[in-house]
Amino acid sequence: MKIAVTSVGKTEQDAVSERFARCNYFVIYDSETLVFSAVENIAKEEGSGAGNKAVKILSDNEVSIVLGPKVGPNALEALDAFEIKIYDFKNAKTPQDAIYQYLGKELETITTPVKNKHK
Amino acid sequence: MKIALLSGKGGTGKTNISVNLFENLKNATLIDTDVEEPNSHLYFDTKISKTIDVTKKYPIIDMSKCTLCGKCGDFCNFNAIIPTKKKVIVFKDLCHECLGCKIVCEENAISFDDKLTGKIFNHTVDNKQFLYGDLEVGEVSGVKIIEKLREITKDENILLIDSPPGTSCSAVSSVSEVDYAIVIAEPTPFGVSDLKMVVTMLRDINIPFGVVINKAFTGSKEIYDYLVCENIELIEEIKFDKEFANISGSGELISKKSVYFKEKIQNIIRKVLGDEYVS
Repeated sequence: MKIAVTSVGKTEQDAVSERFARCNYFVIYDSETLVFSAVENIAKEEGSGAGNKAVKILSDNEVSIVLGPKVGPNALEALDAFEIKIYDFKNAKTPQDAIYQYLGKELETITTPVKNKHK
Repeated sequence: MKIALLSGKGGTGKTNISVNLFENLKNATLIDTDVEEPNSHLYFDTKISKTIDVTKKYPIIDMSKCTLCGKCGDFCNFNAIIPTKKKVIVFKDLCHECLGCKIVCEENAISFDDKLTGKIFNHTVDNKQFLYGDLEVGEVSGVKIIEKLREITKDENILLIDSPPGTSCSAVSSVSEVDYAIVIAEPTPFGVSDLKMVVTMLRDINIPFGVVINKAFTGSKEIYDYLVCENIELIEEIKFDKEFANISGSGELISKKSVYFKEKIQNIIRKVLGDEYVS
């Protein structure tokens, strides 16, 4: 199983990103090989629909769980359609922290989107 | 004659000058194409109104035909259509109505439905026509509404177009095929920077233009050097005055309260259109 974390940098020791669709990297932990890797989030350059595209990138990388900040309605709908679960990483400082907290069952799934400020 | 008023930078006075030109023209039609935040109507007593709905097409997917091949999603530049593992999700608001997803779909699984993208309000002010568009919340592009505004007013003799700021698609569609553009600029570094972008755009699409410097005698001289260097006509200068802001802020037309401002507006009309057009 692959678990992604929104991240500012390429490694599990970098800071987590408080932005989902426009984070720099997804740091991905493979629970079978126990190896961390990173995928650049090219969706962050999108003018619109960055959340949807970010979810597509996660799916293309066979991610089934993502640890991140709270997300908007579009991203949540896309995550649901791609059958990817999202957990709120709350006060985790690094992707590694977030993974430990997830494995320790300390994190909660996100099921409602943050309010769209424009609606 | 169709005249667009644009600026590049926001807040330089496009709307103020548009509504005051409209007030001081014998006969003219004004359209506010800043559909993301229209505000020209705030200056007029607009009771008689006709509303026109503007709709756009967005894709709907026949899942009995869809093979989830992903081609529509790869094609869409705006991530409005996303094929997933079991279904294709469509984000109506993000769709720019290019209809390309249907072309790339080999299974013929895509058809279109209509959705409201904005409204056009049609008013009569002092026997002159005034229209403005208003984009629905969440919609990404006002171009469709601007094109509709332009279509409705295509036969008007004297048309003033209050354009949106910037040089994006909506600004381009508001100035396309006009006879002349009045660029409202302010003498600040930011104002000059955005003026340069507008000048590039107007030259690119071959539209003759001149510049009105608003809030003049503030900021720096950079804008004057630029106009001379680029051989651009300076139509008029309007001084900065806090009282103008007060008048405008209370929803009144500055040319009704200030002789100085009225003269400046009439001068612009004389220079761009001719003496006989001043009311």
